[in-house]
Amino acid sequence: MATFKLNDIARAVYDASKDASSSERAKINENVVKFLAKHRLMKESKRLLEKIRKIEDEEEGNLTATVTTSRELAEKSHTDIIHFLKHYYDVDKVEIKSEIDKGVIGGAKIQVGEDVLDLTISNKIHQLQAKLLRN
Amino acid sequence: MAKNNIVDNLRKQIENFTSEVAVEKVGKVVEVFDGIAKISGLSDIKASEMVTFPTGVVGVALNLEEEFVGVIILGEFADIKEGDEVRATGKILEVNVGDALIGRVVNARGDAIDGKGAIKTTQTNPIEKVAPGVITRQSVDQPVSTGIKAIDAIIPIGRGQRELIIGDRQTGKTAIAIDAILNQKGQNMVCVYVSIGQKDSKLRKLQARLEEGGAMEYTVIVSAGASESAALSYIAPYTGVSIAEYFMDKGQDVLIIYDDLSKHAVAYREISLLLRRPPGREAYPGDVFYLHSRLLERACRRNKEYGGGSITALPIIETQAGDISAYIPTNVISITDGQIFLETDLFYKGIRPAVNVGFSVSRVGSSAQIKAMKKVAGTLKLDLAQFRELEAFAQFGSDLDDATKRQLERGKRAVEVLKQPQYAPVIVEHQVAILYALVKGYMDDVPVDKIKEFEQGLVEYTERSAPQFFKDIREKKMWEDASEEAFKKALTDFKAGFMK
Repeated sequence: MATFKLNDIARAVYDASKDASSSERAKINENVVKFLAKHRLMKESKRLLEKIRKIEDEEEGNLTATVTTSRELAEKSHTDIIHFLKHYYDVDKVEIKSEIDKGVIGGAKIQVGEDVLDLTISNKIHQLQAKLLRN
Repeated sequence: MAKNNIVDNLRKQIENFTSEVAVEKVGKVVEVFDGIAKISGLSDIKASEMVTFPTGVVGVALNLEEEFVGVIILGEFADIKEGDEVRATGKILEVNVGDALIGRVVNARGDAIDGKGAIKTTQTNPIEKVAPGVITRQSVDQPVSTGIKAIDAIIPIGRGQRELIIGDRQTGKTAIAIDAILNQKGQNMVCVYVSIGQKDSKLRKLQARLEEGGAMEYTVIVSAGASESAALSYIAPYTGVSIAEYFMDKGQDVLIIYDDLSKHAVAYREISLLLRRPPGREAYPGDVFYLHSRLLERACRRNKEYGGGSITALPIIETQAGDISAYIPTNVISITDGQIFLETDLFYKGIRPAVNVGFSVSRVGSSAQIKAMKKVAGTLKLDLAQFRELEAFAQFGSDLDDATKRQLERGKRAVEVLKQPQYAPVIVEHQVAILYALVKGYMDDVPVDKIKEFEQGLVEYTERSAPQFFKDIREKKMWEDASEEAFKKALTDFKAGFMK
């Protein structure tokens, strides 16, 4: 049986759906589900959706960033981060998903796909610890 | 006062500390098993790039697949969980190198494990490096004196050579390597001993022996013990050669011993199978030849324009029931510039080192042998091979002509002369004197069981009576006619006294 790569499936689904009408999209979606079931790929559906989302964001110039902080992000910081990301990635639209994690102690960790900008206190402490142990 | 100093120093360190802010690449752990982690993400990672886990443990990317990255974990992996964030470092795995490593025992990551504190170095070398190119190399023309008569005379090793030590278990492979290290004292050589998958007790014993012989003053030990993961055994030889390269780059000569590459191949097989790479012959992966060839190609002799340093490699391979035609032994035999084959039968016959002269060869070493040694050892290998043949033949009959009898008697004495106890290396001038007496027939009428005694006495007596002969060999690498005459006279006098 032929093996299918998730990247190829995601690209095919996106290409087929992007200019389709809503009735055509419903048909495409139905066929995709049937295809996944037939090739026992239902367990990969979550990753497939992520990949389609990524392709969609790339094609449409959207960016989703996850910002982890120790407490709720202030309005100004929110705006500053969006401004920075628009400039850094050269995109028009930035969506921010905010996450609270007390473990970061302070500062913020910004993650876009595989890229991470870690400006947290916990990261600085880890770096300092490593440096002191090295010396 | 001291307390204040500690606090002040620490405060200064903390005040001067600036954390590095950069966009890093991250992935997530999907699976962890047996020292291997499967990571999703890290799409831009390079082969052999270092990654860090949240626990501080380092890994190396070995398998770059479309969806995942296969990473070997170099350390404790029990605390790494599914979903953990993994960061790419952008750096190929590297190890700290420097003069401070001399006299120390380090693990495969280059960290001290001898309890003598951290090693302060300022330089790092990548563990994987392309071997020096042809333009930077020079042919092998300087000897490595191992202090073992059988090797220095018959299978000579040159600086920059790769000479395999091969044999079954308990045939004295490590003993040869240790003797070679012990004999490097005062010879301007740095030694690196890489222990792969050995018992810690064996390593400790070996370290103690080297310390006792004063050899740790110029030796570094790299150890990946039997209790450590296969990943560490896999990188240990590369760590060793990176350390050796640091000294070679400074123009020094280095002797590196890989003890042993059979266990290294087994560790690599384990990693490859866990990474689901297709198994080939004896379940080894397809690139097991490249595993050793890229390692051993890094041993070389640099020419003067490139510093003139060298790395001489003595890899060790353990055979099973003397089978040198198995997969890994044949691979390494074909990579190296010769092999020293040790045989169980010879070992139990009391011929130690148990070197099988027929199967052993040095392809480039003879040009590195000093002239005096060449002169006395020229026909020794052939004589010994003929002796073995005649010895087997002579068992069937007692009627032998005089020439055959003479050859047999000479052969018996040659075998006796080449026997040598462990940890008793013989310097090259003494080796030449002993072999001179053998090949010129001075030992022909000495009873075989008295040969050792004769040898010892001969060296002591002639060194006193004909010191110029030894001085010539030491300084000019060949004797002068006058000193030879004096040596011959001293030999005759000594023999006359000995035979009384």
